[in-house]
Amino acid sequence: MNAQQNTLEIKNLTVEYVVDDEVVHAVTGVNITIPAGKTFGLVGETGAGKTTTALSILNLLPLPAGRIVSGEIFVNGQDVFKLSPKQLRAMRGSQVAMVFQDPMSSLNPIKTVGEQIAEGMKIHRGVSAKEALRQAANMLEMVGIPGGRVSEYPHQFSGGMKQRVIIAIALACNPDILIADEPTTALDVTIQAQVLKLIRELREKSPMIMLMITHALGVVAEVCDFVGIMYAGRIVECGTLADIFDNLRHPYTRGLFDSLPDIENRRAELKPIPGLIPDPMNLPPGCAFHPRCAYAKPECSRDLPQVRWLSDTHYVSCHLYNETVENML
Amino acid sequence: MQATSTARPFTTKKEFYAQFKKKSIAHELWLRFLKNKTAVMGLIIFCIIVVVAITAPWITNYDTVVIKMNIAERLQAPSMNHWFGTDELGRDILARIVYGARVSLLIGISAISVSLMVGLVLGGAAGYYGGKTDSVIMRGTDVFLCLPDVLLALAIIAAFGNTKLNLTIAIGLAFSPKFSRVVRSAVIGVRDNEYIEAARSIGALDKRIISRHVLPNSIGPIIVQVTLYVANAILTIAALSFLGLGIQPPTPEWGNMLASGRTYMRDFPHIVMAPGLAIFFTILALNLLGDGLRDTLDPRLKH
Amino acid sequence: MNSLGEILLEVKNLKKYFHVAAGTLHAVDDVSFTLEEGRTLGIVGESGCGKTTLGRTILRLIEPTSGEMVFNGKDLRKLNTSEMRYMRREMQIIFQDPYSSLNPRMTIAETIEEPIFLAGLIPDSDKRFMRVLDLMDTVGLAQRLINTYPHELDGGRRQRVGIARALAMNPKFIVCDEPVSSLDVSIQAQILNLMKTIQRDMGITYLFITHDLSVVNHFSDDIAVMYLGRLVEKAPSEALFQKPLHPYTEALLSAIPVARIHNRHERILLKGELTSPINPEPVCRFAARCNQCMDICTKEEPPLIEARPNHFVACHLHKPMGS
Repeated sequence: MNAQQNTLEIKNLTVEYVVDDEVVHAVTGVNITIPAGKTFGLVGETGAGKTTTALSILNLLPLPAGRIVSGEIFVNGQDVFKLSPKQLRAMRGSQVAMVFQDPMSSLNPIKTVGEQIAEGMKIHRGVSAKEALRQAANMLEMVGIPGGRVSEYPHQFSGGMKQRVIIAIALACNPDILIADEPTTALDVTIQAQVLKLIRELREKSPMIMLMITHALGVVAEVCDFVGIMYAGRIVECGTLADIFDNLRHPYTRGLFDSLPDIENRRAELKPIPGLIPDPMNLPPGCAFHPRCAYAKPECSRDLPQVRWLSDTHYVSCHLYNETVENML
Repeated sequence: MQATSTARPFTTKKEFYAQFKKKSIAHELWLRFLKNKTAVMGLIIFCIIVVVAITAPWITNYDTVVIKMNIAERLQAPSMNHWFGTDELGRDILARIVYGARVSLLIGISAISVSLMVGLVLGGAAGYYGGKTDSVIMRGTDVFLCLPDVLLALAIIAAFGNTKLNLTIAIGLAFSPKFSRVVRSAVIGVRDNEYIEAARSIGALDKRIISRHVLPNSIGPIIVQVTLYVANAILTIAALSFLGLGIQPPTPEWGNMLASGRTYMRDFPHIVMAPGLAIFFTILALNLLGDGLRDTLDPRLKH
Repeated sequence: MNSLGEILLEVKNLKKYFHVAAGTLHAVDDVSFTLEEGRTLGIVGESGCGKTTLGRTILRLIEPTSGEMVFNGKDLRKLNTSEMRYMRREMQIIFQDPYSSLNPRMTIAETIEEPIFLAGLIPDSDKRFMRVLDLMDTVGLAQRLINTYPHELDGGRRQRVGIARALAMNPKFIVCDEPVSSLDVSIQAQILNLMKTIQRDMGITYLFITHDLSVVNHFSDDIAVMYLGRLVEKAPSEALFQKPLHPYTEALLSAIPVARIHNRHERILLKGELTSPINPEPVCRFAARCNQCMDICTKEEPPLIEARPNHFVACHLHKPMGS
């Protein structure tokens, strides 16, 4: 098997949107490496740049506004930005599949779910229509829906089932990489539990790697191996699950965890992060988080913090760690 | 979060408003409109037509030039004396075009104003209240929608006589059900927003909700339709006049100019070209304007 | 504030049915509870449980099919339109979507001023404006924002405008319909803290509707769980979280994603999907999905009983106290 199979490497990605002569710095200098079989959780709030990062992987940025300024993305060792449109099309859906947030608008209402699952198979694997439909029924069973429903239309399914159908479509061609953009946010919590369990089971059975985009740390704890925390277009902290959950270092990461209501301790007042998410057209100088940071020092408003490796797996981008790797929070 | 109030630099509302000015929505929309080149062109052409129509009495004399027959000069091709040439009765075509604009615009705009009033009331009620009110009003308008505009106008003119007023009313009536539909769907588009429910929850009466909350937010599509329907109305007037049912000669109207010039079309094409182009450019201008307005007011393009 | 602790709202057998093509949709089906002044009752449930309809029906923004809502001793259903409008000063609502709950053509000062103006509380224009500024202070909006339009503000600020509008007439009771669900996590905490402070300072009673259990635990004194239009459990928050009685509540609590990698518990997963709220059978509506379903559950609808002191549940697994 190709040693490069099932790998995703994003190197120094910088993406801008140009709207009405104003520049939005959506993503700046993002580095993500996902080894085979692992799941990477990209965490951030609105405007952090997570979806833009995901869309860049398949070169799906909205034109003409979106512009990849610099960086490289290697899918299974191939540089995505150097591929011809034909090669890109071949890659989408077969090597890299994407699951979007809103199940309602991701499905074509006038085609049966079987047809939609089979579509990818016909395009990428050259399977006959009849065979593809049969395999579509199998896919439905795999995501927990009776195979007989393959000839039904999307409106006949509930929200949770629609999301499963979308996962079935994404997995139909056995992709090496699955990108899931907030796959469970629109679902009820009990349905979310079912879908997350499904995702976990599918992951255990296959060497597929997954990029999971979410704002919910609880979801990350459930399905991810690695975590990257994004703020204003940059990854401010990145590491294994244990690194982030047990040993977090960045003040924003601390703020995110502190904002969550603690089920065990309900009387405590919530500790929100003061201030607002910065305007991507008008980012603060130096570290974009410094206006909201309780640990801000003079250099934070002047210089961009460099990436500091705290261990083999854990890095943070914060002036607190310029001299030391000890926990400064 | 502050527990005590912050210092107040002023004491009256006026002073505060002077310091923290309101951003003018109209101004921003205007700037956005200006970016659309074809729409601006449409606006300019339409303005020219309107100005020409208004200043017609100063450009040329109605009695001596527009309707006075002058057989000696008939059927002349365009020249320095007569920029568009003369018609079959020797009248200056340009002068007649200019006065024709008055008629078309006056009746077109009046008729659509009437339709708009009716449409706002009927469509607004149907859209806002829904249920039985909606059904009754919509079935009523359906009846009228079945009748072609020309036939309806014909019926009214045949019954009540062929006057400018009757023509205006006829066209106004023909377009009312169309407007009711437009207003109704615009209102329905806004009705389910939570701020409407919020208005009810703070005790606003229906009248206030409709005037303050529903209409200002649904006016966009309605304005667009106004421009497009004015174009339609002008075309309908021309059609009626062409058929001999609308404005009667010698009063110049682009449609009846086309009708009377028809027999001479082969040898003297300039007679029909002028009114034809006049109609063409007016409709074009209004359509470009309408499309431009639609793009400008599209809520999805807002931030 | 000496009326704190007295019953402010009493909901009795409230029903709201909608007539749809397929039959009758039981959106809210025979819901009863009481709410004391100054306290917060959380209403939780997933989509289709009827919590949003319940909130609006209590305020008569939707007319109930049957049942009673007694607010401050007055039966709301018996009031005529103008009496109801007058009553609205005391009972307000904060909406979920900060984008569609504000009129895009009104500045935020105009939006906050409108209720005061309509109620005729402050006839003088300048004094009324000062009150608007006071309200903006209370919710943490800077003065310079008076003439901004909603589209110029972010979700958190818009929601603050919605809160200011709800507070404008000094209400006693506010229905909060998922007030923070559309906001980012860091902003959610800000808004929740704000709402708690307002409650403390003004003695307001909240009906807090949400699907987010971690938030409702933090924010409510008592919690009521709804499923397919029915109230299936109601208890003080701590009691509900520590010892849930209804199998649905158990599943709901275990489904909450926990931001922790150690001590993770095994999830209780529900079978199947929500049954239809249209023409439901008079049996336990949760029976089809319940892992503790008994024979009687498929034959009889369980009534709401008090199984522990102040802990109500509608489930055949439990018997009323003292029996």
